[in-house]
Amino acid sequence: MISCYQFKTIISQYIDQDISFQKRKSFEEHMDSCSGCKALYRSIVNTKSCMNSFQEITVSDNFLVNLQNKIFAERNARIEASISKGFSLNRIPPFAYGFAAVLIAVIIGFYLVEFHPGSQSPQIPPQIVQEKIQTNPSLPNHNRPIAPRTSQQQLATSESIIDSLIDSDTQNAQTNPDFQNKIKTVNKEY
Amino acid sequence: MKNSYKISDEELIRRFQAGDEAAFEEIVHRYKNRLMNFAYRFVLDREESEDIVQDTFLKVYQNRYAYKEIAKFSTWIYTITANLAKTILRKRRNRKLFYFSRLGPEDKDMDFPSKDQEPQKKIEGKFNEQTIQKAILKLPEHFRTAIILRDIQELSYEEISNIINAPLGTVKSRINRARLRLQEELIDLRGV
Repeated sequence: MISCYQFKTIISQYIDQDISFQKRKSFEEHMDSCSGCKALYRSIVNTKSCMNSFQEITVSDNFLVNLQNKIFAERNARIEASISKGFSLNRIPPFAYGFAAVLIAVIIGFYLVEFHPGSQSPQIPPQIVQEKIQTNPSLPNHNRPIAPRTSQQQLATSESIIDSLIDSDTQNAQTNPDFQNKIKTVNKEY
Repeated sequence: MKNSYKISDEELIRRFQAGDEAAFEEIVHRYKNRLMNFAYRFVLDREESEDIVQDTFLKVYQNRYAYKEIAKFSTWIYTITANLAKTILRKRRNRKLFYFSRLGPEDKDMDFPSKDQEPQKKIEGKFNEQTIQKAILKLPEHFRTAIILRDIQELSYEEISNIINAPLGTVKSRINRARLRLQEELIDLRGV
């Protein structure tokens, strides 16, 4: 047999049918013997059933319109706030910084791999190059090593170019009649 | 209040997160009156409870991506409403206003001739509802939340546990104590 205090602690368990068989038996035994506890139990059950049948409160007819207006107003306020704030680093999401760092790392990595002096770009196999040169001799043979020019060689080539220009001028003076006339008029002026 | 819809609430919020505005409208349609009931029992003011429900939906709209499918959608939305209702009560307490005194003569029962078969029974029901509502309003906030969710909204203990963020055992004992305390308040009100 349980006490009135124990009865009160398990009264909701009994009402919600969340009670063990043993406890239920003790609860019912106590209820049969205690009129005060029985009245309390009945009162709680009546109140609960009354609460279940409470008149349903519904929203007003303007509810949806008002809600829509609230949503639009809030959205507009947000847009206005973002415009008035302008550009700010604080508004850039944190993942954007990470993404930018990764992108920069990829670009640098690509540059190092492609354009580093020690690195070699993929080449056409020499056998295929030779075959192409043999079939088409007009093609320049890039694989042939080009010997670096010395300063003396460079000087010799520049001298030969000057000589060839002088030769062409003297030939011009001897053969071209206009050129001969020009020389005569200049001599007259002096 | 069992969910008997073909599309679950969780599916609706998933669609809304994907950009389907019609899903949000369906959520509003499903929950507006349920939440209105809950908020009204909490603050006992029609205008304020409607504001609470609107703010709840506004928060759902704004924070749609905050919902993760760990908890039930109903739990999430009830939690938002409960928190907003508590904020209203806190503000009210700070203003030291007793809103019950706002009830004017137009809120009292009117003497229209009734064609109802059992008018006396209905009046008793109305009286009981008002008395119980007054008694609920006298309960401490944590008891009030528990009893409204259990006995008016008919939510399960597990759902209530998630909404009020308390262990199941605590919820059970809180509901038991809230029911006993409600009886004390009712005896007080009937004695006046």
